[in-house]
Amino acid sequence: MTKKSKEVKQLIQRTAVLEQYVFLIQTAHREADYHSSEVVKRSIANANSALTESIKVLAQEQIWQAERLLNVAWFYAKFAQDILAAEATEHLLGRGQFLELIPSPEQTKKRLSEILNRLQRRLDSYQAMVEAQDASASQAAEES
Amino acid sequence: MNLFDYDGKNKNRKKASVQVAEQLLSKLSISIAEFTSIDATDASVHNELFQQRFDKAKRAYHKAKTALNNDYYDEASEHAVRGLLHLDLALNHLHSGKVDLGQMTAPAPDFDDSSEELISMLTDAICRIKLIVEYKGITLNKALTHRLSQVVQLLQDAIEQYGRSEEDNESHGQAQMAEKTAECGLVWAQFIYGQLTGDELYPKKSLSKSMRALNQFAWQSTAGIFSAIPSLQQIKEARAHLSSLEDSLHDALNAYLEGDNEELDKSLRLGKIEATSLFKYKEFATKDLDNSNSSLQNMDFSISENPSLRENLVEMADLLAKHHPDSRTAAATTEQLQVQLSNLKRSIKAEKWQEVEVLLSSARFNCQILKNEIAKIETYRE
Repeated sequence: MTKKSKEVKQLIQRTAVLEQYVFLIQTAHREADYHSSEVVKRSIANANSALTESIKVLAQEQIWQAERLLNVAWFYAKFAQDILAAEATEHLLGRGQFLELIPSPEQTKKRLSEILNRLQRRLDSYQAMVEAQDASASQAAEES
Repeated sequence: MNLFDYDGKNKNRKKASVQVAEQLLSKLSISIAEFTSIDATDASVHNELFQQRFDKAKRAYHKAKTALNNDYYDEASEHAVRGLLHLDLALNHLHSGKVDLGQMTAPAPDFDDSSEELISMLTDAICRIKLIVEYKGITLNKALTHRLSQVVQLLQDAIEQYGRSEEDNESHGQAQMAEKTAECGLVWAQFIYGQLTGDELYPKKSLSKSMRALNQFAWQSTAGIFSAIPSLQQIKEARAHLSSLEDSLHDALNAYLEGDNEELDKSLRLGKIEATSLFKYKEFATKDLDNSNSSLQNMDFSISENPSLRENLVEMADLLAKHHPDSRTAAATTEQLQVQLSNLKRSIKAEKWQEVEVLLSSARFNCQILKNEIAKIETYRE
């Protein structure tokens, strides 16, 4: 076996273990019915993307880069696992108040709608001023 | 073949590429056929992952075949190799017994440079902040929440920069960027942690010399006042000093990233002045406050902030830039709305009611556009 093919073999084995690791985290996250963390979801997705990318560059024989991407996948997976562990502790021992590290798209949409509603209320108040002005102007015209 | 026979060389190269691509495709095709007969029903191994990789191999085969049909030989070879790698992975999954996550040893990478160490430290710092907030039942205010999500973003940026670094350029470029980004994240994490606990996140020796001053500032400026922060936030002047302190740290980090030591020292000096003022305010604010540990429970950092509509629109632009798939229309509309709101105020003040009506109509139209743009933000699917 050449040095290169040995390296490829080792990388494949590492990829397989990492993929299983990410899969187990994903399963644990799905089973944690007390809370669905956005940062865990995204970290799992990012880890899977890095694994996919790693295989792509490995097919191009870029071994160093493939290894680097496996490390990327590991960073994301480890982060997801640590957050999951923290939330499990909070679920078991705490009050079930989870700190969201990043807002979910739903929360972002909600926040944007709140701002938009505030803006529309402000425009309504300006509209009311215009109407009041019109009313007083026509009253003045009638009186004259 | 004659010397300088470019066409001849090319023909030979092409012939070789065709041969390689066909051989690889054939190998992949035979392997797929062999894999079809494998029994993958054993639930004690990673049969789901086996199936996923097997499906990917089949897709790679079709892509390779299409590329070969279109005479894209290199592309065909690459897809075929990818297919074979998928099969190799599939086989690995089939030979791996399932274990619980708790029993699995995370396959940690061999750390080659300091960026990996720093990224791991930042991951740990974020988790510690989350744990302390949840354990103490702390309600973070918007500023701290925003700062924390920036730290999480810095973690992602550092990881992505690390992933983009190249072998021959390891000491410069992206790897160095990753290192600096992670360091910035650690300083901000210390700034948050100091406000929440008054403690240091890491011993000084675990940080590089250049970062120690920044980290120490982030810690000392917050540790001295942490128990009084909720009270301080109720004092307008103290709030301004707290915000200036944050600005100084921000400027100092920018100077650090740019390698401007003079500016870095200046920002830290200014920051220390702000910190001294805050310590004074703390003395007034905590006169009757019991500093015992029990008072730290259920600390409320959520002193209400009432941002202006203009600030809200800046926040909106920021959120849209981050979450919208193509935020150009939304960004331009938000900008227009900011101008229209200023003009509206001016026209109302000048009692130019016709102008107000025209502006209102345009602003409402822009609101409708924004509503449509917000609806385009995709919700994440696992």
